[in-house]
Amino acid sequence: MTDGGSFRLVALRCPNCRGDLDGLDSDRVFGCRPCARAWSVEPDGLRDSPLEAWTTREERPLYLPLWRFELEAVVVLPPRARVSLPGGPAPAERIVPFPHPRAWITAFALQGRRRFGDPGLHLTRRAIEPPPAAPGTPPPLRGAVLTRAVAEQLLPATVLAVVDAREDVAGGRVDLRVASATLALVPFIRLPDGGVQEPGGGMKYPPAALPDRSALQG
Amino acid sequence: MTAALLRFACPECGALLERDASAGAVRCDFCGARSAPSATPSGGRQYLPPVLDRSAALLALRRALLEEGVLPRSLRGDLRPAEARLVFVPYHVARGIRAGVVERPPEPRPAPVEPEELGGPRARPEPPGPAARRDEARVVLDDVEAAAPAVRRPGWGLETLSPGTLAARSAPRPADVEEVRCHGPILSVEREPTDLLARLAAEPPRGSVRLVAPTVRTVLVPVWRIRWRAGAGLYDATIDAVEGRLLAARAPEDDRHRVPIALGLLGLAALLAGWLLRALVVAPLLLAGAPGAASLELLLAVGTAGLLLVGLFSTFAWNLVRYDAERVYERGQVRAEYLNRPPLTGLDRFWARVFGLLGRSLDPNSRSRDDD
Repeated sequence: MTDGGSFRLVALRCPNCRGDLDGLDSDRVFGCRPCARAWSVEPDGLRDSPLEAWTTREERPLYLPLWRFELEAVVVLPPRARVSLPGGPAPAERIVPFPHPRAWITAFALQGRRRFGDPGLHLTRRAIEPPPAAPGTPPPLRGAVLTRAVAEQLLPATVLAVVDAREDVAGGRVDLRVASATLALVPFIRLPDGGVQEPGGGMKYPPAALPDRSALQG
Repeated sequence: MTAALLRFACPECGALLERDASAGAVRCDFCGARSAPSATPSGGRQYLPPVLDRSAALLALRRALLEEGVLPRSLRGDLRPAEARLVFVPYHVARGIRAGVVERPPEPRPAPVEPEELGGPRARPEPPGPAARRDEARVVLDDVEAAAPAVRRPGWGLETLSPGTLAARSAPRPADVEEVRCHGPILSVEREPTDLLARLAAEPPRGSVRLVAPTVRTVLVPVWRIRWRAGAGLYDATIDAVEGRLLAARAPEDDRHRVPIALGLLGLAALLAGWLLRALVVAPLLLAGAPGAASLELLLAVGTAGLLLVGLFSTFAWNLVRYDAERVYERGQVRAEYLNRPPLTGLDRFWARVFGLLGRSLDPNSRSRDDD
């Protein structure tokens, strides 16, 4: 690494095998296919996570990266009653468990999440069970712009968004424990208009939702 | 980080890298090794290639001045371009993911439902479910972007320009300084993007929301600065060089009607004063016969009010004639601006003093204080 004032340069070589790492110039996570590892460029250097690809029957899928976090989480909500009765117990906080064992965070650049939707949020809400990882070397990793640390910052909002369907989350806080993080290459279906569709006939995303579409498609 | 090109040494061989490493991963020309910045890349500098050449910009200016009503009709044929210069204005474009909980504003009350007896529909209870729940919060997970000019140029109308909307017509390219300078000069960055990021992070004010993965990139936007003549005056305008939209302009005010308007105002004031005198003094005197002390007091009061009225109108009319005016187009609106006119003229100060004295003399509280 080389000092350069506010940040440093990190050599994009796999610390395990010394091979070149895959990824676009604008990416923040780079993949080592022989080691099946994803390396996040964090302020203190490279941080690794497992890299795996979903199995698919599509002929020419577009592999887009999403973070998969195995976690346990609860949302602590303020008591419904603001004041307690005289002599009665103090109003207690309500604890709402996060109903799913994992959460997904979109790792590629997406534009207009509110308008077009967020694949990570959809997979989390639908409690998608990931298919077994494809055997062999994973496909090249492209377009992962969210590091693991940044993705972890988005976990509380994702958990709240799922719980929000059942409870009013005003004033709530999220307590979570991440067991593991994996960068999954999810095979999206290419659409004729240049957009993509989630595997299994899920949501469709128009070309406008993917700002780096041409780079992603190679 | 956004203002200057940063140079780094290759972490593998130590050779100086020839490219801006703050924008993303770079490859060393000497050893071929790739390396990436440890901090979030700024996105580097981009520029929008200009679409309008000089003649197209002048045409767009003429059309915009007429369509927006900046140029008076009487001066339509009198527009002569004097100078046109293409400059690149740097904009900071901040992006990030806004995540958290936003408190909802209070919901409006539902409209009352008329009872069935009066012929209205049957009032039904709300069905249970998420739609009927009255949440106080909404979870947000959305991309946000904001742009602001990185230079201070008051009167250029740069705040109304957004590089994001222009990018649809002119695809941004990595800013090679030499290539950009072939088109025109680049203004240097005068403002840091800290305010922009703080503003992006602080919106909306209700709830607890954070800005995740913020990045700032600099986009060089081409604008035409045009100087043009109308009559004896020299005026300037700014046109964006991608869509040809008028950002700001100054134009002469059509002042042929100033003197007639001033005279008309004076005539109106005299008419009003005469009408007051006739209605409140002359007519009662004619009806009452010989004038008494009360009538003289009334005559004095009405005469003073009439004089004040005429004086006020005269002041306005004199200022109208005295100061030259220009039409200023900014933020999509045209307004008149009086050149060299101080915020408070001598006559304005005089009238403020007169009305101050009048107010104090008529104020019963001040009278009682004087008695004490």
